[in-house]
Amino acid sequence: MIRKVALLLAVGSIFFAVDAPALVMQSASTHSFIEPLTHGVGAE
Amino acid sequence: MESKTTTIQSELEAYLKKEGITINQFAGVSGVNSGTLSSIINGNRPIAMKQLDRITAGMGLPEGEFYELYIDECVVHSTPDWRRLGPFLQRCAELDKLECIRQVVQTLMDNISYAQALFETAEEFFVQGKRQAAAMLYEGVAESEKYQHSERLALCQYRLFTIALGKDQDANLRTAMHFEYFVERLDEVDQLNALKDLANIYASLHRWNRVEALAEEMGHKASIQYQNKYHKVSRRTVQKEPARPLCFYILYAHLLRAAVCDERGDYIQALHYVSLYSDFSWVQETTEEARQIMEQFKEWAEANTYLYRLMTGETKVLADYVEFINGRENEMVPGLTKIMQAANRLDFNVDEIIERFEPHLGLKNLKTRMGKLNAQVTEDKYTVLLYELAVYCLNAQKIKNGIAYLFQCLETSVRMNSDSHIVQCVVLFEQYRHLSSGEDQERYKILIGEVQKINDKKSGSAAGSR
Repeated sequence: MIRKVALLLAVGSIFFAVDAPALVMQSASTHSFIEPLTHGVGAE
Repeated sequence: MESKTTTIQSELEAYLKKEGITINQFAGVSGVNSGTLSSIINGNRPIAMKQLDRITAGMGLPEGEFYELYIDECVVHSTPDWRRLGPFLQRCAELDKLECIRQVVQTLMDNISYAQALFETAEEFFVQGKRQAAAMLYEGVAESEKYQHSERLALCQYRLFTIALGKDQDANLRTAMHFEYFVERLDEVDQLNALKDLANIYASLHRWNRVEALAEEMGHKASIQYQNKYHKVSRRTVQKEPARPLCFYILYAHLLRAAVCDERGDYIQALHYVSLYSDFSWVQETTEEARQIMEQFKEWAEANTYLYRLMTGETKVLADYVEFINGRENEMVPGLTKIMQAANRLDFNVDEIIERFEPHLGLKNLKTRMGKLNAQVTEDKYTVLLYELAVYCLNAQKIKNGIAYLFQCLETSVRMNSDSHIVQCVVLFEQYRHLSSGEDQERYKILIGEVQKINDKKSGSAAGSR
């Protein structure tokens, strides 16, 4: 997990060094948990 | 060095001497018959639970002061008698003296004949909500039966699974995987509930392949039991009724399978399952509970039809969907999350909707018409909502709000020990770090510190178990 976070931080820094604002807008719009939230899941 | 072992008798005797009172006088104070007191002091009579509590109170000592000594005298150094042990365990559970329970269980389980009595006491504790005390007894019984393929062992494991579930997703996963192995050994009625509970936990962990398999199995087993109960010419005598009418398990299996299709983006198939759980033509049950179940599934079918259509890009259903969730507090979190997901994916404006529902947001215990909603699923759903709100606000350059939602999401994810949610939050923050304030960055540092602490702990325990 620490490695994962460190890797992400490293990737993040490279990412911003390239072209942050434009890419941010592009990628954030696709950034979404694709998880089902079907009504009723979790009924006991 | 002590020359004499301390016993309850010696303590009582010393007390009487120190206070300068007679047995008769102490009998008046404690409410224990003087003859009984005399026999106890002379070691001719084992002490009953009520007498022990009265003597302790009479001596002005805290409740349960002599319980450790009592274990020594009545469990370790003499043949245990269930007439005394049953009430003793009950009192230990009431006073939360878990270490005493552990000691008794350890000693008793040398003799397997106590397993049934311990199991029955555990069931009583479980019903009374004394869950930690119950868990100790179940563990003892399960340990004594670990090489036997008994139904009682499976039931112990089921109870231990239920008791162990908490906020920590890692721990929940381990518990679920351990318990799954025992499901087949439960009786067929308990199997349905166990499959439902497991599917709910795997849903909260996003293990959708497992959810699908468990839902299929639950639907299959429930259909067979339904067939046996209502359609077979020679109906078997049903000895035990399931926790819910059988139709619930069949309908819920369809709903779970729709949820799995939702996750895969297969909304057409999801709508097919909706049609299955909104068809009640085959339902034979006529009880009020069954009627409530059908009403509930009808409502979910309506909600899920809106949301699956919305996810396919039919934004025209949005107004109807918003009206549907408005006033239905229990459907608000999943409903709003889906709306946010659709808005983030299809890029449309939902500012007004957020403004309308924001005052109602917050992590609450959600309910259905049949009872409560699984706590793990509820917390997970809420985390997803916070994340979607963060994404939406950040996309719209509302940085302050977006970061606030993101931090709430990260906090909940840390509390849940959810690696996947934490990573998602970190990725999102790093994308917007340059727009965040110094204060935000300080707060982020603290939250990441929490993540590190958890990981240090995990690394430590992993190293310890190597």
